[in-house]
Amino acid sequence: MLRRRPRYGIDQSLPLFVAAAILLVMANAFPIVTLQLQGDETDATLLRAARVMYDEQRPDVALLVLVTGVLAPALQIGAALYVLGALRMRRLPRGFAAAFRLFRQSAPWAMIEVFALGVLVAMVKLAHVATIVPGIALWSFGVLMVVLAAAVNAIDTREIWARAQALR
Amino acid sequence: MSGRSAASLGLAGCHDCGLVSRVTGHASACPRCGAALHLRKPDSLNRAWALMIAAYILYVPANLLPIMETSSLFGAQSDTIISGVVFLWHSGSWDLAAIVFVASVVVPLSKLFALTYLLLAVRRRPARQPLQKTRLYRMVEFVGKWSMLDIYVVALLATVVKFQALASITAAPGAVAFGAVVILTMLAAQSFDPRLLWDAADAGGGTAGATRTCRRDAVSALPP
Repeated sequence: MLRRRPRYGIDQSLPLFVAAAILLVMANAFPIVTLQLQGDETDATLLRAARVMYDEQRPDVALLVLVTGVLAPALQIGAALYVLGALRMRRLPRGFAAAFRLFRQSAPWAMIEVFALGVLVAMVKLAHVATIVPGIALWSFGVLMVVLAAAVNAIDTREIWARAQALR
Repeated sequence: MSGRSAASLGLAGCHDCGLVSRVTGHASACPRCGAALHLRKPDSLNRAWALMIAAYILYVPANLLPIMETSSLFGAQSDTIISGVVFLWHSGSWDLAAIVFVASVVVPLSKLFALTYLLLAVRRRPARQPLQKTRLYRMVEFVGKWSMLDIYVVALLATVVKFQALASITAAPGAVAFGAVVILTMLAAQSFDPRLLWDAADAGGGTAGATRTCRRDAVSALPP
């Protein structure tokens, strides 16, 4: 498919990216799951998973988790907010084109949906070993997955560049 | 299906903003967004081959080495990708076993084979069925990231299962190799330029090449 023009343009994509940004912060600030085993308790966040990998002499796995789980989605959402926010305020700031390029190129490396499935698999593997308490971040990841997909879908490259050229 | 390629007219579409403009000289930049313009991705085949060969080599340790080590009161155990799938199957969650099997075994393998096939197909002139091959490329690109599933599972388990003497899980070297395979094949897919398939189909007589391809397809579709 070459082109399908989203109906509401940046008036739709901008609020979706704002929601995605909030969800991404929530998904990383709260625990994803808490595990209880004989009175002992551990929990996991994405950042802590990267930290544990680093401490266990697996800096490469830590980097992989950090980049695909946190950094790439953050860059993708941040760059989109910069571009859409600028257009909304009818300004063309420095680095507009660079931000758009960053948005495009970070997309394949943002793997929120894969991570969400990974959480599911990990929970099933642990289900008969210990008590699992789903955390706030688990729901945040689920919603973020849908909102981010919708937000990226609502981006219309032609509309963005037509607006940018009109501001020049 | 017919018509001339933009490249043969000296036109290139910008990878980032989509603007089509005329390419002059070697280092052209998109007049609208400033991105580098190329008629075709630079050095596409060499880069893709190099990344693919590296991915093939790392695929061996990725599957032979354990990706996860578990130690508990009942002793130590190490899991490879396959044994992880087998474990899920035996514990009764055959649906998740199927998902993990597809993500960790079927996807990486078919990706390696599909990209190799495409890289070889480009060398055939005139190449046949560029449309089907372009579709194959799109699928390879779409499916790539799902192989990261096992890496996330290992990282999560290693984070959450830390109960001193009772049980603890750590990531093992296989996870590093497997992650590298995923990244390398994604990079290979990105450096491959699917338009080369159409160039190869057109080779040897402009649009005549495309017509010949179609006719040959029609013949091969007839019952013998």
